[in-house]
Amino acid sequence: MNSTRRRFLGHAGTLIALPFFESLTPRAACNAPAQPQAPDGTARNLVCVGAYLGFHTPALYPSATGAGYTATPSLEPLDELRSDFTLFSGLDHRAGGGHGNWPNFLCGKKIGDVSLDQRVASRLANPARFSSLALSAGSGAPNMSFLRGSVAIPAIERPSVLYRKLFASESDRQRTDYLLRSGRSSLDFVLEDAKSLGSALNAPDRAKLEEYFTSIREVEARVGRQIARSQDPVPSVTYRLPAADPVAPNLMIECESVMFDLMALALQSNSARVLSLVLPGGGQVFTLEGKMLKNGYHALSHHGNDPEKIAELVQIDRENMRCLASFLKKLKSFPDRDGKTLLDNTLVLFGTGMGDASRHSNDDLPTLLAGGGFKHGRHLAFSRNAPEQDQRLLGDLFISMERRLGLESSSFSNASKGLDDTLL
Amino acid sequence: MRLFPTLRHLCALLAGVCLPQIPRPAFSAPEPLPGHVRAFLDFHCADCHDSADPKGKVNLEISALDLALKTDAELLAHVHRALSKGEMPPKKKPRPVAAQQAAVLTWIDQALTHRTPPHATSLRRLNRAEYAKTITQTFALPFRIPTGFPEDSRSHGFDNVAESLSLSPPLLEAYAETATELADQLFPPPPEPTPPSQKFILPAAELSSADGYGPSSLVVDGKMRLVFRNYFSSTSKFGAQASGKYRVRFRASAVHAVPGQQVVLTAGGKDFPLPPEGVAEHELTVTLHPGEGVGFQFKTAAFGRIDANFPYKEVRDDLLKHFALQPRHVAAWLSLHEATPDSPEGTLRLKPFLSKSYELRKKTIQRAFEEEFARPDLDLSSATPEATRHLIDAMLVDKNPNGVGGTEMHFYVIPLVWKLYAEGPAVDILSLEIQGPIEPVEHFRFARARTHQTNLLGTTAARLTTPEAVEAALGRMLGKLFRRPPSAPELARYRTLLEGHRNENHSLEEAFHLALRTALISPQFLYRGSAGEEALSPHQLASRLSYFLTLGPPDEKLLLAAADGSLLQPETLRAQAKRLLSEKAAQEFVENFVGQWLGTRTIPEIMPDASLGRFGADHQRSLIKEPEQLFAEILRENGPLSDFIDPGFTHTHNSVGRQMYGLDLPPPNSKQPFALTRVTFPKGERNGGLLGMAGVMMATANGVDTQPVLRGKWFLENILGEAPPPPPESVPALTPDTRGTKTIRDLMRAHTSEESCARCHSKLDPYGFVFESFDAIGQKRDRYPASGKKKEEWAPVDTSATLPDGTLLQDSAELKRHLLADLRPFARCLAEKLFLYGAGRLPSYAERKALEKLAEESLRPQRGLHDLLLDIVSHESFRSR
Repeated sequence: MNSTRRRFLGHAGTLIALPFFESLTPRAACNAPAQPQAPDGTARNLVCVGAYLGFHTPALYPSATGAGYTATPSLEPLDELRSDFTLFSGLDHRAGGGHGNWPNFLCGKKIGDVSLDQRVASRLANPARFSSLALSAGSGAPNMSFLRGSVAIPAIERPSVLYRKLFASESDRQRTDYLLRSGRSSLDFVLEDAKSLGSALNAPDRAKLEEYFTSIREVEARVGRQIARSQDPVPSVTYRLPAADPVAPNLMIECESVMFDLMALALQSNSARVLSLVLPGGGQVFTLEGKMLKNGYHALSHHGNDPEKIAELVQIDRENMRCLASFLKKLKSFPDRDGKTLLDNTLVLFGTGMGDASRHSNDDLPTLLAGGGFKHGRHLAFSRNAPEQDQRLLGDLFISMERRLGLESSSFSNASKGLDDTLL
Repeated sequence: MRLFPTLRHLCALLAGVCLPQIPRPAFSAPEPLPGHVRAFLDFHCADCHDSADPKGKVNLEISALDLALKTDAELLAHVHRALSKGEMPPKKKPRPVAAQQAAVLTWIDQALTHRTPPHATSLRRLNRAEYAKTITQTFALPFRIPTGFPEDSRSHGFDNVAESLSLSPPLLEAYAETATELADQLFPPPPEPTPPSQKFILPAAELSSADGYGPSSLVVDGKMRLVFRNYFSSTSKFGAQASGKYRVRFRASAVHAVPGQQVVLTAGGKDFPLPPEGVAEHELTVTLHPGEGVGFQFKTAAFGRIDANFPYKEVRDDLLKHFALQPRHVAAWLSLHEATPDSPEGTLRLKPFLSKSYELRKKTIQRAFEEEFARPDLDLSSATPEATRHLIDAMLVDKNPNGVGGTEMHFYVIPLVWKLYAEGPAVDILSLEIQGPIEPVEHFRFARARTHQTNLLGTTAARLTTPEAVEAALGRMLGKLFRRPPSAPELARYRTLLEGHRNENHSLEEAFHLALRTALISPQFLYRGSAGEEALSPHQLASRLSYFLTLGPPDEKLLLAAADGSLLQPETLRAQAKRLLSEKAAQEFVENFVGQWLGTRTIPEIMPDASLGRFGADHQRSLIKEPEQLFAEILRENGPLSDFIDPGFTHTHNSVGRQMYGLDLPPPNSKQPFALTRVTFPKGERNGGLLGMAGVMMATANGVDTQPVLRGKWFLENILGEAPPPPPESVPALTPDTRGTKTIRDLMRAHTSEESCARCHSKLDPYGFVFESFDAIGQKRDRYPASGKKKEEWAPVDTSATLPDGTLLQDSAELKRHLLADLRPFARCLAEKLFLYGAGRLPSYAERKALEKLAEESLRPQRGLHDLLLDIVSHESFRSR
């Protein structure tokens, strides 16, 4: 079905296949449309990243809590950004374990409840050209973003598809615009059709047709919004994509890195304000720093305390952290309104629905929160053995994040306390 | 569609003559109950079922009813059921006078039969499976539902019931996106100009395979190394940007070539010989389309790649050949296992120290192998040809649910693969240069699109030069999508849409693109059935029959019978149904219906507990297939319905049959490791039939413990066709006691000791208890496993139960006998399920009575399932909305 998806690559242009990470230059690369103003003390954007196989927490969690911790092997790539993020341990949704329960990461206790990103996207006052974008670093991703009615949003797996969506070439834009406009006339057409279907209907038939009308009207409204937004100038960027999409599982880290770059561009150009990215994990064997690992990613996550396997697993975790660090640095280098940086105005959640893959346990989900103008620089540890009033859930963090984005939030799934006290 | 109104009325008239007719009632307003009914209800019922605080929320303190209202009709049907079954009035209350009760029952029966409005199927949206099959069949192209497509909900156990097939904005959006993608395939936008030719230099270390899951090609020492024969390794970091010819230059060398054997490397589809030593340089021209890379294949490699679709025999032969020369390898393997050459296949077991847990095995297997391999005192004499063969067969058959190539397989293959990559024989690609596009080539999607256009329009869009030809093509397209000829106004509207688009300076292809996109989200395509009409048109009937028996749209023969109206004649309809059932597409009906009726479709979602025993892909498949094949055989042979209960045969996988049913079967055929065998055994036993199938037992448990209540509920719903009472609110589910001090029967004793529980559970639990000798994956058991206890101390399984009518049963075999004594409830239940699945709604009271009659007729000698199905299809209730 995707036979045309690479047409645009001709425009992206490559002289030789590599390298492709370097050409993102801040600001100059980008003629962004005007950014909406947000009240002071709030953030504008939300980025949620979820790693399917989680992290090896003994190499991630510092032994000390608070500000003066010693960087662990997995935190080391992020250490120069220490004051820009907070590491949380001991937060979770008090839900079941296993890979099957991973998708509750952004939903709370129950899989399929509206996920954090979609709760935010549906309520933001000034949505961007794309109210939200769900992404995955290559194929094999689980569901992470859910709409009302447990409808999972399929993630965009290919950087080229995302790129085209965000920075379509003139001819691609024309085509999209054409499809949207003619699509609206096609919706009008079938609506008329359905109206003529019958007047003397019984209740169930009326209900069926009503469903149809409602759906058509809602999709029409959505198309209308997109058409209105299609007049927005499309940012022109000089970013160079890889010659072929690195969607193969063993290229996940490359894909992740490109997706992070494109997310930074999307935020900077104000094309999207809510982004989610899944980092899938399967049996793929990575080649890191020119050396192929001895084991597949999934097998490594079931390390069985074998030190060799743990070493390789931590190597992958560190690669993920490196990608995150580079993303955060980029956001930090982009000046935003009010003399702040883009990172100050963007909440970046980096976590997982898997607490300990080697035991398939989803208790204690390692979580990192960066940016958004929160008070950072610490390792905050929570415990389910603490007195009731000191216990916090991952949903409590989500509450505080929603509030920071200027939204009212008093509860998220099974959480209702929030974490404002420690973050503000 | 009203094509042949006269003929249709005539047919309806004919139908009325030859079949029991369901009267069409006049719609009524609330009317007072007759005196004798009123008096009966007052005296026997209204004390408890009063209007102030009605017991069980059933209020019978009433004086009038509106039979046109669904709620009132259901109330009467409820009263009728409770009275006729003797459930009400309760035992301790005075008995009604028999004649009075009979008079009340007769009145209710007549009222429900003649004076309630007929049920009608509302517009029925295509469900996921139907939508996919419709697209595939209409456009003759492979189509899979995209990920993220919203799921359908189910009602009464099936996913094709009209009431639950709702439409939501995300679903419509998904339909619209799919429509655009399909339209793009049929009427692709024109190609972009070919970009100027460029040179790509691809460093060898960047040439890793695009496949991340198997070790199919790897970068070793900075080169792309190939070791397998039947795998095509592509360049993952190069993709052509435009369709065109590209010049490819590469350097390659053989690694540890087998002496005397010519090494051949295939590149871009051409063969290139490589010298045993030194580097060869070659050049070729390939045609590439966007995204495609250049594929390499080590054509003369000793090994084929092992994956889920591996060619079994080929791999086996490869491994035999290879290991005949590797006694140390075999001996090292053998020393890790407890296998002996004479142990049956599939029973190869790792030594206990390795198999303690899955995790431990993962951790140590490779290292243990390496240690064994290096041991100087390794007993090489153990590597006999028989031992080698046994080892290889066990390794290839003993699959985990991921299939060969899954994790389990990698334990065995990894040591082998690593040696191959380290030592060869292998081929290295050292460098690659690609120049292009040097000449543009038409993308294959345009040729494909022309084929698809011809299929849909009768010709390509380019050849539609006259307005008449355009209209004919449009009519043909709409006919295919609407599953009937478009009406004149419909055709005119679409023509206006088409012309309007052309007048806005769009091409004819673009206009068809828009018309196709539109038709694919139109109600005529997305829904079947009719709104607001009483009878089904011949074409609607054709769709109902076709989706019922094939899951797809009507085929040409069926459309012909609809076009001339003959389909409305019961004989024609029957003949068409018979034809469809004899064709391959009917298999989809069997799989879909059986899997949902019995719940066996959920088996893949259940995670069987490892302590219960081996459960692999062969088990899963067999458990799902067994009831399907039983149904298929009874249908094909027009077998008696009693064969569902006690057929004296089953279809099962050999090793599953041995493990689950204790059948004496040979090891599975190694050439068809998943095949099921037909096995016969004496009737009257525990094995055989729906009530002796491991799949049914697994689907009614949770993978770990059995839950007699769930099995009882399943039995009531799907074998007896009775609605089980709703579960009480705020009563938690039982927590099984795995220490074994209390059995599930002990835990469930409360159901009989508390009167409020007993009322419902006396109907449910007994039908679950008799199946207690089937564990959570359907294996035979006679004791409940208890952790930390010796097997002799485990509590014995008790399968005895007392049915609500007082019948004492010892086990499930006795339940089968009990059912066979009066098969009418089962036959009725099956008839109703088939009707529900076929018509997409529950039958009305009158239709239920008609189905009951058909079901009972199907129990007469020489009659069977095939007759029943055809009787239902040709019955008036199936032909009416």
